[in-house]
Order: sequence, then structure tokens, then C-alpha cells
Amino acid sequence: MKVESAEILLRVDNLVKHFPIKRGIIIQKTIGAIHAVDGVSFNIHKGETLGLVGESGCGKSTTGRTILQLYRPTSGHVYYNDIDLSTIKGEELRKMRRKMQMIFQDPYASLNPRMTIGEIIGEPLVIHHLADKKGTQARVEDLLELVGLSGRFYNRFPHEFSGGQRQRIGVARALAVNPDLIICDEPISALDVSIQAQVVNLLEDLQKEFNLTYLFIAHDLSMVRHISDRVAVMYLGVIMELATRYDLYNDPLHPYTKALLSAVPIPDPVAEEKRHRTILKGDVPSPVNPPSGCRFRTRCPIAVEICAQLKPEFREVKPGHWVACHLV
Amino acid sequence: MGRYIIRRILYMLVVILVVSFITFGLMHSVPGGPFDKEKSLPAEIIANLEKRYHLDQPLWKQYLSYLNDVFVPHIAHEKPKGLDVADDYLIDIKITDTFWIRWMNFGPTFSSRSRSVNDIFRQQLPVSVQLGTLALIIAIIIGVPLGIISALKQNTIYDYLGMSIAIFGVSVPVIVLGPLMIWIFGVTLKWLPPTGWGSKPPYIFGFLPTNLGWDYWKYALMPSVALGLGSSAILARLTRASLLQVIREDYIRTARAKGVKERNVIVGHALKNSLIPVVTILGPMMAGLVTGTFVTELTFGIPGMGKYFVTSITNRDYPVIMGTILLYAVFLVVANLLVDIMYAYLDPRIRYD
Repeated sequence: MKVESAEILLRVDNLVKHFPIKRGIIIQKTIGAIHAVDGVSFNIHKGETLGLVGESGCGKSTTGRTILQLYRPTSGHVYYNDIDLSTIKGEELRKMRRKMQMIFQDPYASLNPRMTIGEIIGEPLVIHHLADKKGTQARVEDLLELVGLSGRFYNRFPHEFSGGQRQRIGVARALAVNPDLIICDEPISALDVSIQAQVVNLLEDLQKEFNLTYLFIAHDLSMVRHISDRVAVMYLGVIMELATRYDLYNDPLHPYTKALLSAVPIPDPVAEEKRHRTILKGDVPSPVNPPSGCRFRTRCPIAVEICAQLKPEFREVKPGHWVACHLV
Repeated sequence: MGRYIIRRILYMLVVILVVSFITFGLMHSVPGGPFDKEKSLPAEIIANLEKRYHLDQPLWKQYLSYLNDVFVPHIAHEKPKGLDVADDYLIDIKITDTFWIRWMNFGPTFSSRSRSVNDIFRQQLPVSVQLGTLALIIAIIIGVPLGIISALKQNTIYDYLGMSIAIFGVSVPVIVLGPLMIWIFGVTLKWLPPTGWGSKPPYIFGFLPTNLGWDYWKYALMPSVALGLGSSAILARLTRASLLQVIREDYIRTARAKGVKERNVIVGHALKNSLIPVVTILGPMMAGLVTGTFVTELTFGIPGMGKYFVTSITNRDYPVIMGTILLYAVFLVVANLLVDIMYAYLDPRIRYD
């Protein structure tokens, strides 16, 4: 399998991001922290798509942003081709941004309303000195065609476009610098269902054409299943299970993954009738005071005593299938 | 855009006509008249005065003749002599030796026999415009950077310092700050003259001073700082609030992810988007500053327009009331038009056609 043999492009090693909670008017004291990402480790292989799923607020987007150093990690490392992104800064980091780009969730908010499409897509080319003025326009028009828009849109403004078109512009912008890695932060969540498929297909076509590597963050399990080679399931800042797409969807090991998958409706009335749902009780606990031991134990249907005492190790139970659970 | 501006100018004319109508009605409906003094004048003298200034005519006639004098261009066939204060037009255009177009006669002042309202516009208004423009420039160059620094260094000592200066600027009025500055720089240190103004007619384009040396600045410095500081505080707070909102927008994160340098993220992406509220307030602020400010001009002994806004009302000096109010209205609507044009530049989503 290509997953086994391919070289590692990005290695995330015990990544932690805590957002401090501050009190005090003049002298501020840190009185706690939101444990948004709490010790996440995984690899992304060159050319693959790693899906990252989880409920709202579980730290998916924070993970993506911290990988790109849009947030600086509290601890842990992110290695891109053996360069430790978490230690470089300034000009060095800025140059690395050529290699890694991000597609954002909200196509309405993530495009500067004052800039034309040409300026938005062309700006990375200019600041990374990849093209002169003439070359920039030609390249932007090519990119627009590539994502299924017209080169004539060069001088238009973002508000003149629909959500799907705007997200294509976001894709073109991310592609402009020829990156190797693109972090897709819920790129389709804000779009109509009819448009979602178009954007996902576009992302897949582009991946084949340019040998791109994706970290695909989403909460739509069926979409992640469609696009990913491997899938990681996150809960409250921690990865619970990581496996190939086939293993994860057909043989989920972690009780949280099982519960999540049981919530996906099946588009077949007979099978849907028999679908057994594991309904989780209660709400996701606050990331300010996450539960001791296993993060999931407060809602886990099979939790036992040890789950409250010991944090389960994230271990490889089968080749390529990682789980953080005492009972697997 | 061109059509929009023409339409707006037509609206402006309507606004100014309405302002003139309301002002005229109001000032004639308040009790008292221009010739009521502590010691009452003989009835014949009052009757004569009223006849001379046409105050004996019915109000509607007075109003129509005022409109005729101010708004309707007139034609004269010989060079205006300029001796009669009732025959003083702000704009005299010579077409040929025997054909003159004359426009905007705001009438004589009641409080001085030899001056017209246009004399005030020619002599006092330029001083106020200079002072107000300088104050506005100072407000911008202090207020906007202060707001930017406070926003970028939110909740740090710079932020608290900047906002403390802003609160100081808002809450210490010119009537306190002015005498304080005069006492420090004018009386104790003797760096600057305590009162006065350094420019005299004639003015370039009707308002620009001819001398711009130290002789000018030594007078202009204190009052324009005193006047501008309050406005700068308002601008600082607005800039800070607006920029704080914008730097949390997603497209700012997009810019960082592109690899734009931090300085350019702020200047190129954040600042332009956050200037709209600041520009909005600049319109009325400009109109208020350049038409003269009573307290500042009084404190620093500046021969500007400000006092006429106040004294004309207490004196029931009808032509001066009308003139100053119309002037303010014109400045306000023109400033707001400029602001709206600026909007179109700042925000491409705003189109006026």
C-alpha cells in the first residue's frame, strides 16, 4: 500500500496548544487554560489525504492552524521535511509558507473585501517573488481557469461571487505558490450540499494533477470517507483513533468512533431500518477542565475504573491502526 | 459616479434651502430684535433703522428678497463701487467692462455700520479655516497612530497608555487646556506668544496664508494642538475599536497564511478595512473645526469666525445668523459628500450608480 511506503512529509509530534485564560485589570494572572489541542501526534505521507474528524470544538481547526504556525504551539513539534516549524520564525517561517497553504472554512470572511480577485490570488506570487507583474496576471488567470472559473474575473471583487465560487477562489489562492501541503479547514462546511461535491471533486482532481498532500479537516463523516486515505478521529483535543479509511469505517475500534459512525444515516431504507445507534449521553466536557485519564470516559458506554486514572496510550493495535483506549 | 455626484449636489441645494427656511423662521420667532438695547431707543429711530434694513416688510417678503440676494446671480453693467455694505457680493465676475455677474450677497451686519457679512467671510473665515485644518491634521496624525498602536498592543501597557491619553484628550476641554498651555508655554517658558494669529489678508485662494515661517507657526501651534487634541482622542478610540474588529477577521488570517509580512498584513489588509468608521466621523468633524470654534478662538485671542456664531444670536444680528448657519450647512454637506466619495474608494462593495 502506498501509505506504508510513501515518505513522510509532515510529522506532528505531541503537539499541544493551550489558550490561557487571563484575569486582572492591570496585572494579569493566568488562571487557567483552554486545552484546545493536548498532545496530538501523527504523520502525513507525501501525496496522501489525511482526514481529521471530530465534533465542533474538539480542536480540529486549532490543530490545523497550529501546524501552520498561525498559532504558536504551547509545546510539541511540527516537522515539515525534517524542518522543525515550531522553532523557526520571522523570515524563515514566512518562506516556508510557500510550501504549505490553507483553505479556510468560511469563503465569505476569508477573502479581503477590498481586494480584487487578481490581487487576492496574485499577492502570494508577488510577496514570494515568484512572478513579475505580467507573469502574475497570466498565472492568476491560469489558476482561475484551473479551478473552473473564468480568467475574466481578474478585476472583480469577492462580493460579486457566490459561496462556491468564492471557495474556488480560495483554492486558487492556496495553489498559487505551488505548495506541497494544503490544510483544508472544513472547506465545504459553509457551502450548499450541491456545491460541496463540486469543490471536493476539484480538490481531488488537483491532488492528482499536482501530487498535493492534504490534511482534510471536516465533521462530515461521509465526505471524509470519500476523500481521505487515512482518517484521524479527534475528541476534546486528543486523537482517539487513526486508521486507513477502510479500517476505520469498517472496523472501528474506539467506542467514540463507533458512536460517531452509528450516527451516520445509511442511504438504503432496509439497512437504515436495522441501523443501531449508540447515543452518547451528556455534553462534551469543558476543555478548561478536561476529565482525568481518558478524555472520553465521562460519555463512554463501556468505561471502567482505570479509564479515570490513567491516560490511555495512543498505540498501534494493528499495522497502521492506532487507538487510544484501555479496552481495545 | 459622475451622475451620483450631480444628484448629490442637487440634494445639497435642497438641504441648504430647507436650512435657510428653518433658520429664518426660528430667528424671527424668538422674542427680541437687533435694536433692543438695555436703554431703549426712541421709537422713530427704531422705525428708521428697521426701514433701512427692510425689517418693516412682511416676513415672507424679507425671506424671498434674502433668497434673491444670496442664491440668484445678478447682473451689473458697471464696475461695482463697493462702498455700500448692502451691495457687497461675495463673487463678482467680470465678463466685459459693462457686464458683471454678481452672486451671494449675504447683507450687512447690524452690529457694525461699515461691515457686511461677506467681510466676515473674507477676513475671519480664512483664519478659522486655517486653524481648523491644522487642528484636523493634528487630530489625524496623533489620533490614528495612537489607535493603531493601542489595537495592535491590546491589553498591554502601550494600550493603557494610549487610551489614557485619549481619555485625557476627551475629558479635558479647551477651556482648561488652552489657559494651561498659555501659562506654561506663553507665560512661564516664554517660548510662544500667548495670544494672536500670524496671518493677515490677502489670502491665497481666499484662505491660505502667504507667510508660512516661524512668524506664522509660533501663533498657530498652541491653539491647533489644543483644538486638535480632543478630536484626536475620538479618532484614536474609533481607530482602535475598528482595527480590533478587523484584525480578528478571517481574511487577516488568510493574509498571514499566504506569508504576507506582518507589517503589510496590518497596513495593506487590516488598516484600509478599518478606516471606514474613521472617515465617517471626519466629515462632521471637519465641518465643526473649520467653521470656527468659539472657545479656542476666544482663549487664544484669534480673530476667527467662532465668536460670530454666538454673538450674532444674542445680538439678533439676522444676516450674520443666516450667513454663519448657511456656511456651516454648506461645509457639512460638502464634507459628507467627500466622505461618501471616500467610501467608494475604501469599500468596493459601495457603488452609487
